[in-house]
Amino acid sequence: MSREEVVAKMIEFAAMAFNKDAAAITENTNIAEELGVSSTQRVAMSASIENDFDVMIPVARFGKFETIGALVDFVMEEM
Amino acid sequence: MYLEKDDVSLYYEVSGEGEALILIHGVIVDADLYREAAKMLSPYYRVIIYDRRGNSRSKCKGASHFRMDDQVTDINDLMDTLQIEEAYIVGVSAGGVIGQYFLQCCPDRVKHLIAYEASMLGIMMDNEDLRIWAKEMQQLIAKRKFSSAVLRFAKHIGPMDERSPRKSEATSLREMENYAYALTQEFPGIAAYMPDLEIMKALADKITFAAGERSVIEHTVYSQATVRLAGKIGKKPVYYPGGHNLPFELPQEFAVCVLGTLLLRNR
Repeated sequence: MSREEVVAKMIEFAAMAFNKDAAAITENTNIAEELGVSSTQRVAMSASIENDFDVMIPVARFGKFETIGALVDFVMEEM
Repeated sequence: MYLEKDDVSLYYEVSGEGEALILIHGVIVDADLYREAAKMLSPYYRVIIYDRRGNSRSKCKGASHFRMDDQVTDINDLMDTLQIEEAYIVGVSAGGVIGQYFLQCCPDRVKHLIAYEASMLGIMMDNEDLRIWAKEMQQLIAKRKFSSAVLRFAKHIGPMDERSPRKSEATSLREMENYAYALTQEFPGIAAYMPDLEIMKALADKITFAAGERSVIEHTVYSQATVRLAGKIGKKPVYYPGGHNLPFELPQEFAVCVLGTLLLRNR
């Protein structure tokens, strides 16, 4: 899977989990500041990543990814 | 404050004066579940909240395995440290299960127990849907798909009350760090637990089983377990106005209900 495809998926997951417009989300979107800090929403996004990419993100680590791009980098490394 | 033990540093907070009231939290969350409710109860009781071992600020020294007896030992040690002979106990969800076991083991140290939506899953396993749910949980946990497992776990908690405050980022992150221990240790341990019903019948006057009205309407497993467990020892549950996470979501309502229950317990 190419990086562009992973980015597209990640934006789709973020839009669903945080209930945001996907068009407003990019690789540079700051997760905490622009999407939110709710653990429920983070877990929902993490679960989508687990199920789609079979990549497990240590949940405590999720908060340490500043941007969607950083999350994509992690998933690409783990795939 | 911390109670330093050989195998754990147990984080606890005490507020107020008078008879002791210990609040026990459930799985994944910590003492902050009760922070606001404890403030409201502290003019009436000496309120103790703590992070159960393995959770949040109560770090285990070495491997952390969940054992019900450790939970009892921790409560006894806290009471001894604070020079408390007897206490009122309130436990929510898994905290209700632990409170029940504490009462079973140490009845002389409990003035009264309120078990709010105790997650007594063991007595519910004749329910086919619940067995499937538990098996799916086990499979996700075995694959270490913790986020998916937490979502599945939340299925039986019900939606958050729209009046609920939001959790701070610090609390959210602290809870997320509890997931691995909660799912691999506490969930299986709590789900496998079965109370001694004969002992409970003998102690029935010391227990109030409570469930949230919203949980009852949504027919959650915890409200069903409350009704079933109360029935097994010949009691009727009481109903508080909210859902599974009532102490956090509606702390004032929770505090009022606890005060009322304890005030009326012997009438």
